[in-house]
Amino acid sequence: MREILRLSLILALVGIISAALLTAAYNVTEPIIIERRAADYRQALENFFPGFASFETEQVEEGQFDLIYDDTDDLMGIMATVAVLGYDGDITYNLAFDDSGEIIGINIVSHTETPGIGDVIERGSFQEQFEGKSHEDPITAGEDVEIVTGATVSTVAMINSIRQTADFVAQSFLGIEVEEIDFAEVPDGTYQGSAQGFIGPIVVEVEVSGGEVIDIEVIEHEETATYFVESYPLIPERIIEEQNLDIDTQTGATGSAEGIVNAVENALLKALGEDVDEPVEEEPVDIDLSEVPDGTYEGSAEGFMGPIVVEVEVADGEIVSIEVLEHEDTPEYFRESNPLIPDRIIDEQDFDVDTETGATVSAEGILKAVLNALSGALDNGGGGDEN
Amino acid sequence: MEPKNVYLQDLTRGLVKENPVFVALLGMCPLLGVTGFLFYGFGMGVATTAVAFGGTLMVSLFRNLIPSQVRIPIFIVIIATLVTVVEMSLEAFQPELHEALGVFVPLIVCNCLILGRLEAFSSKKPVLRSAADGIGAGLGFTLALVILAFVREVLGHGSLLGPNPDTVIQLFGPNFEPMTIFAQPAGAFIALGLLLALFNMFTKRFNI
Repeated sequence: MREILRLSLILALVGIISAALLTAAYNVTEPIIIERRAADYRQALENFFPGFASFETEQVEEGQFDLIYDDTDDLMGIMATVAVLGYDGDITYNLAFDDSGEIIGINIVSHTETPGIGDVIERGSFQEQFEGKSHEDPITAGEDVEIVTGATVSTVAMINSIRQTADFVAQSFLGIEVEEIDFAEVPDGTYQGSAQGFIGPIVVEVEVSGGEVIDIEVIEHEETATYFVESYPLIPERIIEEQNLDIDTQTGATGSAEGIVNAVENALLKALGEDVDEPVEEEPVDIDLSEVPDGTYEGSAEGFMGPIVVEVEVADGEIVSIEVLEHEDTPEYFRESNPLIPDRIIDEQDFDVDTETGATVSAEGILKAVLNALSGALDNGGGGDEN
Repeated sequence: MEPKNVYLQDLTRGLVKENPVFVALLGMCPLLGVTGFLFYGFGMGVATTAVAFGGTLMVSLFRNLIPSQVRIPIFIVIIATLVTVVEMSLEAFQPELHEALGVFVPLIVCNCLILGRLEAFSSKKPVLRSAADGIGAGLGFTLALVILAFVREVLGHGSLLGPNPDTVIQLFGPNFEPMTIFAQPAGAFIALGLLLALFNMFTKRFNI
């Protein structure tokens, strides 16, 4: 017991001496570091707002926002300093906006992301894609900005944070109303809306009662079932719980999650009598095979990574063979859809085949390419054999 | 043996004969991580040498007061304190280097080269000899970093004293296509392997 006490005391003493040393070093270096950071910050300001005269700092929960003025006291823009949790600790960055809320540029102040992986957020190629974007843009991964593969967590965190900051700046400092639906204004009823998901349109039915969304059901979607479960019913639950569409959509199927949110938004906007931009329901293609003259036809359509080119052979009003001539999809995945999809089409002699495979996007691509080949054959006046 | 020679021996032992990198293969993490540019490799070496010197000095000063049961935690606290001081100084006085070295500066704490010197030498030997040993090990490490960084910067970037545009010297003119592999971590392994082979060849041949 005495021995343990003695050792603990010695350790404590070492700790105290170490703390004292650190305090001393901190006191010496901190003013220099602060001064240098301030100089760096002024430099960053000068880069984004050449010739600025003064700035006014507002410290709020979301971060620090500096309103930048020129020498005639006109607002030049806003410099936001915000922190977001990346893969490994906080990423602190500056985001410069002009006076209309458009992003001028990004400056990473500090981060502790993995060297060689998460530090891609410092790269120009990642940062430049935000320039010119504003609260009016989706700033959503996969839509108008791209994540960096291998650094998904770091880049998604940045993208989401930038979107929120852009909305916040527009709303709080530039007096721009970011359109937000007031659920209380929506009359009671059940509304349908649709929006693009990860693969195809998602159709939802939203029930509103007493100014609150009480039920959200997805009635149609084309997403891959194994991923879709990550977002459904989680996302509807979040919307209902928060009674707000500004929810966290980061799930195992973020594309689907955003699709659901947008579909709900569209349903509510329609309920309020506003025009919405919904994905055009694809017209069911109906090709009468018996009208297609015998022959071999080529057609192409977009696959997952690039165009897919197929060759379709028709004989006696039936598809006798489908061959994929070219594609750029990943072979390991593509073989989940080829020759499965051609086989299904030939078996059923119909285009309403199940395209859910390990490579659904490729499957849809093959199907569309076949349709394009055949409709091309019909458009050519049924003109005959290309061979 | 003359006492003077003992110090000299302690100092030079780490340079070649017991070089922490080429012989003991210690401190591989910063060695591979920050040797993309000569300046970074040199900065890392100096920072590590400072910590090694401070650590060996402190530990040998108090070697009779440090109970052997808790010596490892005490060593770690001492090293961590020194590393933090070095990191704060770098941030204040060498911000560019501090930014470039990034997480590898705090990681000096777990550089086994330093803990190894404290445990194997400083905890048993007098102050001056320990200090000489610490500096020697640090210099040996710096030497290895500088050689590797030199090779990697020349081959991987075709430059010297980069990446600061004020000091950088382009060695091969505008048509030079650098061997980018050497700028990458994989190239660090390759370069290190080749250097180790060369080092062994020379030490064998000249019987050092």
